[in-house]
Amino acid sequence: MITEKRSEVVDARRPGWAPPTVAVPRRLRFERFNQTVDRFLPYLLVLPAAVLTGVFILVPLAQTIWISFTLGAYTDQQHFAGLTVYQEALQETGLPFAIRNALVWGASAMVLAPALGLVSAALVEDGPARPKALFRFVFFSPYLFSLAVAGAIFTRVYDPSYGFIASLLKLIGFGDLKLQWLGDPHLALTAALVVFLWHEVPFCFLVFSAAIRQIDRNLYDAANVDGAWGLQTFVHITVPSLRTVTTMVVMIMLLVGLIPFAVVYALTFPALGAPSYATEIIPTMIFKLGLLGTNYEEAAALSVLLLVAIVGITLGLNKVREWQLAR
Amino acid sequence: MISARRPATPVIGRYIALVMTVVLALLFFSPIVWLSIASLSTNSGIALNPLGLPNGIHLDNYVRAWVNAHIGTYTANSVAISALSAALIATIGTMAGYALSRLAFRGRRVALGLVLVGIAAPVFTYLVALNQLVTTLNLMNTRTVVVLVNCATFLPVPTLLLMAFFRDLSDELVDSARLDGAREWQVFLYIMTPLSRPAILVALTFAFVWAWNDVLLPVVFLQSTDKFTLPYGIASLHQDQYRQDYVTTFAASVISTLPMLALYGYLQRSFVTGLTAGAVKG
Repeated sequence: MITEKRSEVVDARRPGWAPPTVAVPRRLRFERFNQTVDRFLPYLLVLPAAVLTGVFILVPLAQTIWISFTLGAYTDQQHFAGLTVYQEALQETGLPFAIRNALVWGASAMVLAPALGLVSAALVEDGPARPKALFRFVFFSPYLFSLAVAGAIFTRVYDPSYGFIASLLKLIGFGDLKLQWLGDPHLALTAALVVFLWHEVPFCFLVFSAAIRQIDRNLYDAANVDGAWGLQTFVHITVPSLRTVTTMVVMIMLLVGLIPFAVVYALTFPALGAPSYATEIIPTMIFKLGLLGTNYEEAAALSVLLLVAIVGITLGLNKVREWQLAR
Repeated sequence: MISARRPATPVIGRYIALVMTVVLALLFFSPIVWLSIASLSTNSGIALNPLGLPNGIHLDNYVRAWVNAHIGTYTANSVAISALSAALIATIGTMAGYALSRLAFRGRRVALGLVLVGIAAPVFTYLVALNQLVTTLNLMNTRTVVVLVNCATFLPVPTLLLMAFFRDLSDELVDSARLDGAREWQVFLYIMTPLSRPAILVALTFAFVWAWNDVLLPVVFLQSTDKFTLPYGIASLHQDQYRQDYVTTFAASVISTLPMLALYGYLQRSFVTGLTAGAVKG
């Protein structure tokens, strides 16, 4: 209607204006146009999102699932092969390591990162350290680097000769240790996890510190009058008040922690997952088989297994969340 | 002694809390301090005394990183790719979020399902076929494809966020606009979109930060160094002639934080709105 009014105003100003003599009056054409737009508006609005998702997610996802049940993908000889590829994929040497690492990594990500983030947030927001703004910045600062850059930095931090950690150890008299943080199969996973936590704890901190600031201060004052301080208020007020936020942070961390490709890539490329599968994860296996190599079928099978695992975990977590919200 | 009447725990507890805060802060901050100081030193200086103060301030490290190590190019690429992705995601997400939350239409559930597929399936679950698809489409080694796939993969969460926001908007304004003869598209464009500006800004920030941090898509789709993004570029530095060049890598890393640093204050607020909206007491 706005358009229509505007056209009337413009036309009426012109002297000697007469109604157009075309078969379909202009006003009616606008009306019809408007009606059509209104009818298809939902589809027009959803279209770009649907096209992007369809082309770049749905099609490749369906293809991946199909490829995982065939042999000879991307050749003329592609044919259905049942579960053959899955049998082969399950015998990959790296797979047991990848599964172990996924468990360790997922558990650390969902427990350690939120726990450390929560404790540091409570310490900064309710603790004695001043100025708070400075400590907020300090605790958040690792997040200013992207995860891959954090990895690149830590290859230097871990350097056995000139690295930050080696130098600190030398300073306190452990100079002979010469720990090969990234070269020793027993240390590499921990070293990679530390980089991950260094980067993700600040994210948890940010969310928790903001959430703590939203808790009603009266609760703390009342507790103080009753003689409860510090640790007690943390356990009995802060933690219970943050229940929902905590669930959300844990969920995000678990999903991020299952696919820590950026860390492993930055720390170990070009020998992804080195040393001797110590930092192998399913994504690095998929990357090596299906992108660096040409074993598309096995990479696809691993992708499907990863999909099943993640969908299962997501559904499970949603159940937990619903149960928690229902209480 | 007035203070003696108060419980003894706060005093000791406060010291313990203070020590814990400082120790934790040092754990997180010390690598940054180290690399910032070292970024002003020389490689031989670091080799002699990795923890020492630099012998003079060598700002030429930053020039070398910016020019010789192509950090300038990487920054430009990163900013362009992230900003374009964020703008597209916010636009497309607003459109889809509005339709999915406030308009009734046939196929709404299917469209909703599409959004959820995007959340449930991380890129790795279809990366193999996506890689082949991009090759077939002749889009390999273009920044365009990084933007497009960024949009597809990062779209779901901003869309859900905007859906939630639109759903909570009151009907009054819309109804009165309709009474005044406003068309549905006018309601969307002139009433709902301006009202949802805060949510759109949050979506923009999220999308920008994700695109900024992502390294996988550039690694997969980009081959020539003049197209690399910052994370990819810096992660690649220690694979070639910069392997032993600590100072250049450190200077590059410091430079890479500047855009996020500029967003810091804003980031704090919008991250929090996005993640904790009404969630504190559940």
